[in-house]
Amino acid sequence: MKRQIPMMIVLILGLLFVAHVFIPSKLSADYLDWFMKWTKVIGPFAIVLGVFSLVLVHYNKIKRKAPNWGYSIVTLAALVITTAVGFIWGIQEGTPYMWIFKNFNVPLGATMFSLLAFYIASAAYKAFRARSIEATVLLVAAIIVMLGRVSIGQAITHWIPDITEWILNVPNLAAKRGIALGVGLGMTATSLKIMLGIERSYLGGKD
Amino acid sequence: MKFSESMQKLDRRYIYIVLAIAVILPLVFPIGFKTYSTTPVEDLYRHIDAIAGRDDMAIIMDFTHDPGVMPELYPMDLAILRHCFERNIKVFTISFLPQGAAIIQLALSEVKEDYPDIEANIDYCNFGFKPWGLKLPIMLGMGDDIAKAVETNSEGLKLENLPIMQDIKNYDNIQVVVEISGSSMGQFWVTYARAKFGVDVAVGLTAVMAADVYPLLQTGQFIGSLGGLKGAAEYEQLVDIFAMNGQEFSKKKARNMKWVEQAYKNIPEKARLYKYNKARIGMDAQAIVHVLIILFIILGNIGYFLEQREQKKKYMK
Amino acid sequence: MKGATEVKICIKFSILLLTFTLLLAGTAFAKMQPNNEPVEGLRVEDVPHDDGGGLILSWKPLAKEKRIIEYRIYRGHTPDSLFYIGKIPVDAKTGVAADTMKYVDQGWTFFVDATSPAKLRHEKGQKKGSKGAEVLYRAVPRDIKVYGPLMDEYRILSVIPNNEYLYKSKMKIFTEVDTLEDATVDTTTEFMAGMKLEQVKYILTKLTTGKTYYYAIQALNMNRSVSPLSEIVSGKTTDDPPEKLGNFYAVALRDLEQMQFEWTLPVFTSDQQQFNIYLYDEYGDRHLIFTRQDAYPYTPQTNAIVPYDSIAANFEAFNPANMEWYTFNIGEMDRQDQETLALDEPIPAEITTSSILPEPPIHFTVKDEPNDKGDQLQVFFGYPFYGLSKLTYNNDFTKLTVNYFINDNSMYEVDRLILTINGTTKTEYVLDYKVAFRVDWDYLKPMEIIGTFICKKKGQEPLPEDYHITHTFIFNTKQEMVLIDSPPQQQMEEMKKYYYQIYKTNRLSDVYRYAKELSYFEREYIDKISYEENQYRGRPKFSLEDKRLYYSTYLSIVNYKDKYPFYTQALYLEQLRHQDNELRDEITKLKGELEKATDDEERTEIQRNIDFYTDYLEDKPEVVQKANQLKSNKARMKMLYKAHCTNARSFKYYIRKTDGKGHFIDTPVYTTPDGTQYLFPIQNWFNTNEIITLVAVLIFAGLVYFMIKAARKGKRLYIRPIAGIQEIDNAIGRATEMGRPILFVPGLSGISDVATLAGLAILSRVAKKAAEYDTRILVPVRDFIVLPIAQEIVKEAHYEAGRPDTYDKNSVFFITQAQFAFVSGVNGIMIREKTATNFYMGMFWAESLLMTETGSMTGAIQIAGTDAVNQLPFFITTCDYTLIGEELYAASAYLSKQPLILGTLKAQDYMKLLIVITVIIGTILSSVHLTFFMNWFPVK
Repeated sequence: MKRQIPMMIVLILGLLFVAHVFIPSKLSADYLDWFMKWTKVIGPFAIVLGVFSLVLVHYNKIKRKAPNWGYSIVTLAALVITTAVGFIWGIQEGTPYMWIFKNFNVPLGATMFSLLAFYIASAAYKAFRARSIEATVLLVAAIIVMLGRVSIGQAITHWIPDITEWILNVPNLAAKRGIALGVGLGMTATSLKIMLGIERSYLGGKD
Repeated sequence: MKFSESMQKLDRRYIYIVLAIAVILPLVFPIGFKTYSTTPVEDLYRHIDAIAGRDDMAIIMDFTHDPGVMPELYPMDLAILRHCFERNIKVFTISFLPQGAAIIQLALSEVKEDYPDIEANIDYCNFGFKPWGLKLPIMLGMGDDIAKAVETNSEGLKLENLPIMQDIKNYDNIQVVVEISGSSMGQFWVTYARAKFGVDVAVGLTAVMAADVYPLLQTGQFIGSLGGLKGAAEYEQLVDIFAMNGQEFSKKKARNMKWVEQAYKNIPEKARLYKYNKARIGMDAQAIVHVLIILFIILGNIGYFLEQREQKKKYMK
Repeated sequence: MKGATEVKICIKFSILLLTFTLLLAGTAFAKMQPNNEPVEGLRVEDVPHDDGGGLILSWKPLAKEKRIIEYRIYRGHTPDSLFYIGKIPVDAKTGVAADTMKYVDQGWTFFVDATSPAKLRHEKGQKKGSKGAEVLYRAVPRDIKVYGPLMDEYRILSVIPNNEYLYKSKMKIFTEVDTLEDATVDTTTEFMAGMKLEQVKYILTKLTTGKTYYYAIQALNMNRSVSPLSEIVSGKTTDDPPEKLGNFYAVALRDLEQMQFEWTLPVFTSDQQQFNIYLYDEYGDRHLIFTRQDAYPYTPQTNAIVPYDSIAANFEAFNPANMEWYTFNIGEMDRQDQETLALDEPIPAEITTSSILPEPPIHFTVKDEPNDKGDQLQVFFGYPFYGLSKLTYNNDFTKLTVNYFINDNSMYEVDRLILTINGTTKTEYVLDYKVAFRVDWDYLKPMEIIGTFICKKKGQEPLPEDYHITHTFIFNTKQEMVLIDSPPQQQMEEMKKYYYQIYKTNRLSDVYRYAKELSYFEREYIDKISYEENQYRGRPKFSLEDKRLYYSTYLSIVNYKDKYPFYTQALYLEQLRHQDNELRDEITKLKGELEKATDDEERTEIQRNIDFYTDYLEDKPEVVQKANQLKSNKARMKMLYKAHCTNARSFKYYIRKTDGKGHFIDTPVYTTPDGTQYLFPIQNWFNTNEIITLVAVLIFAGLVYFMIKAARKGKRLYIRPIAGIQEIDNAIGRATEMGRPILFVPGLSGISDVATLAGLAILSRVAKKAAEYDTRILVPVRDFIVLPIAQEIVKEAHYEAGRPDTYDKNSVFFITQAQFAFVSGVNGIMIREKTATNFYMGMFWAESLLMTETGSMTGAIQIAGTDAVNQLPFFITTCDYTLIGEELYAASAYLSKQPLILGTLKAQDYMKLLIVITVIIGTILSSVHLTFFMNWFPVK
């Protein structure tokens, strides 16, 4: 029973959603509205689970004096301070919470994001090797596109930006669409498997 | 360790430091790489330039973007405003995001510093922030009567009484709507303002979004577009070589690099300010980094080939 | 020992960080001036031309250095209690450039609803003893003791959900006993619908006319400290005469014996009550010749047709022959009967004939929109139109690219567009908005482009053979651009001059309302007819004892025979019987009076009243008669409400084509072939656009069924080996050998993403293997809802492997929702825990390379799988194996090797083959201009 009831819920709700695609009536539209309201309700409850997990993991680390447990103190302190500040003074513009957000969260996030440029450079250096014909084609295409996107490419010959455009619009788009087709089918098949109860690992364990 | 081997096992940190230098140096000491203008940018420039000095035509600039995308979009804001102020083109500014209203203020005040004769509500008018929920009523209402749809400017003054509105009634008096955003807001203008009233629409976008507008450019639904920093750099240059030199736009001249170089020599001092060159300086850094990565790839491959050859030699022995 | 030093370092670091933070914060706020001055110069003035429900506030903004972020506005009907009504946000850095700030308190604003605070609270932040501390309140609470009496001071509009009002209200009878002058006792009984505030959606307020209101402002700075309260200033609302109508035109059409008038509306329209058109005769005397009630709350019509007969009825001496002597003017009257004339001097009419009028729009049709939920009607007319959006020559003027657009409608749906320039003809089979011409003309000369259409056959008359649209264009040498010729040629001019106004009315009213104005190139309009959700009622009575609001009880049913334009019915049966009895009593009373009466005039008057009441009692709409026979109140209301909805949502339409100057012509009201005028939007139960999708789903489901059946029978299904999946076991083995943990990231997306589900399916296999080998597995999670599911999966895997003891709940943990913070967390784990094998399975965005590159630095074996096409290159370059797109979905099947799952995989392959075949057929057919196949498929 523990397994059958969830499976039934999945099947029924799944079929209802499939039906919604084909039925435009008011009943069907209202059903979707109603359902969306419920999903919004579930979210906040899940936050509690997440925060609980975070606290538990780091509390255990501190308790066990696991390696690097000092960082866990910093994590928990940040969690407590930010939450407290938000509860006490609110989260509008001008509050300490907003100040923390602007001066810690945003720059830290931006820093991580800008690391991408460095990683791309090093990944390019390490990985782009003319090992085979295919790899060589990829390499040449990459160089042309990179040149075509800045003025140097144009300075060499106007063909480079033109070829860049062609590479992006023709072979690149064709490959992307091919993958997208497979992905679409894969998604449909997976959804079907889940609805019919063929795939149930998401319920945990037993096949 | 042999050269080829050391090439293969090069510590990433060297790459990082070289890259950091390559980004920072051009920003501090601009190199001045040539900027080649492209058709979508030229189209927008000449479209705006076509109404220079006219009282009965204006452009609308929609700043629906937030500070997060300012590095890419703010140079566009400045370049277009500068173009309008220099060539006496009437501008309306509007934003459907509260953060956008602050960016409008900033951009207007920065450009106005260099144009003391330009006056608010006579040469330009800032509609300010209008709630997101009102975007459709405003977009559609402007087809009928701009003053009625927008009602008040950012200072709370009724539009119908402002001098700038004297000869401007609706979209018939709007040369182009320029939507500058990091989202697909431009599509709204196409769907509502263009489809219904035939007003021309152009966009300024972040580089990531730039590829998405190609289909709409091809069908002419957007009359022009500025894509990322590169688009901003091109527009900056067009303003410098034509508007700042008091010249009419010419595609042939814009594409003739010798002419462009000559034009650069004649531009007035106020065009050489850092704020008006931001995008081009940023493009210097971008170009250097692209070349650097290409160099890295080539170096990595040289190392790889050398190693392969040595292994082959070993094997032969 | 080592731990202790670490803690010390951490604590030191934290203290340093805190000091630094405080220092930074200190410097940021130090520049700010204290917020200790009140807002000055507050003025409250009446809004001109309004309905007496608006006041404008203006004040001087505080200095920029004060770093104000918002101005808060408080209002009250007495100076000793002011409620917060709204704020104006300000950018703290730029400040306010203008000298004055304005706030207009006009129109309906939110007053109270069930989510309002429970109790009346003083506003925070005011120093004790200051005047603000005494009088300022936060929002109006949902406490009836507070908001009840307040309602008497404002105009009130209550929005009540239908369901609550019609079926769940509580009836209460209010009786009022009045002793009249002649000592007779008059009892009035009023039935009202009692509702709790929770049953009402919300209540709105507006200022009332002729009352004094008090206002005060306070400013909030970046520190969130508030300024002292400004002076409390009062203002009185007055009902002004309405604003002038604009652009009044009068046209007299001799042959049609009618006059046509047209005007434009002012900005403020909500106070309009009536339009009056006046004729001034040769002596300057004024005669009212036409009136029309306003269509509030809808936009009214801005034109009128007045036949000569009807003018003569109001002005006996009217003689059309003297038309040039007469002048005309229009007045607008508000609800207080104040009237404003549009023109200072009346104007003479333009005397002409109907030949000046435009041709009416052809093929005007209204139809139900297919495939909707029953809330749309299609209105369309005319033949297709094409316009040019852009023309561009290439650099050497050998090629011209034409960008066009098409406006058509479902009657004449364009299949092909044929364009001709200078003898070169191009047919557009696929309408992709662009067509290229080879230039064999002198590009400096003006050119003509002629377009004709071929429409899809739908049983309608074919397009006239000579129907075409021509544009001209000329090369602009100065700007080197191609422009569409301006002004366009005659045909375009004719189209540009006129526009189309769509008017509609429903069965509840007799006034046509304006639905939409279409421009010269539009051909279709979808009229949205929303489902009615609420009833709107005015100010309720309220009772403090039972905490209920009492609303008047009626439901409008129909415009009945134009005799009762708004035929309404009482909500309760009891009320209905009471009303009927009252009427019968009145009739008996009148009959008695009739016998006594002697005067003839009096007798006819009484008889008329008797007839009227009798008629009202007996002549009822059919549905009302039927409903009133029902015993249950609820069943009766259901029937009445259904009738109400049908009538409120049935519309008839006509189109007026006008130039805005009195030259307009109407189409007749649209009548369907079977003779009905009112159209009701029908809800559909199947979306025919999705037939192809349904067929595809059925084929796919069928394939899956047969493949599973085949697999069960033991048929060997060949499946292409995928290296990434085969290596999963080895990768786990490697971690075991090295004695290091495995990292598994199930994507950054939520559970609703199918990629996440696929990732979790793989997690279940990986976790099981890891448990068998007794290797630790770490699963960092970004989504709250994924967390418990992942925990359950890993737990079950350990049980299945027979190692429940090794399951550690903390191995599956939440890090953060922030994208890049999550990445830094994962990277930290890789570096500290030195994970031997990393799996990335699911949905990834820009963070993919940041994780995998770190993983490759730590020397871990990495296997990734994602359907995010843009991230694939990053995974392929940095990971050892990558599952591309659908391979991610297939992985779980590969790992389980069950016939059921392998069957679906095989079905997927066949389906793909089918799609590829379809694509190839489509490509071939449309290459030879056979577009029917392509058109079967819906465009998303």
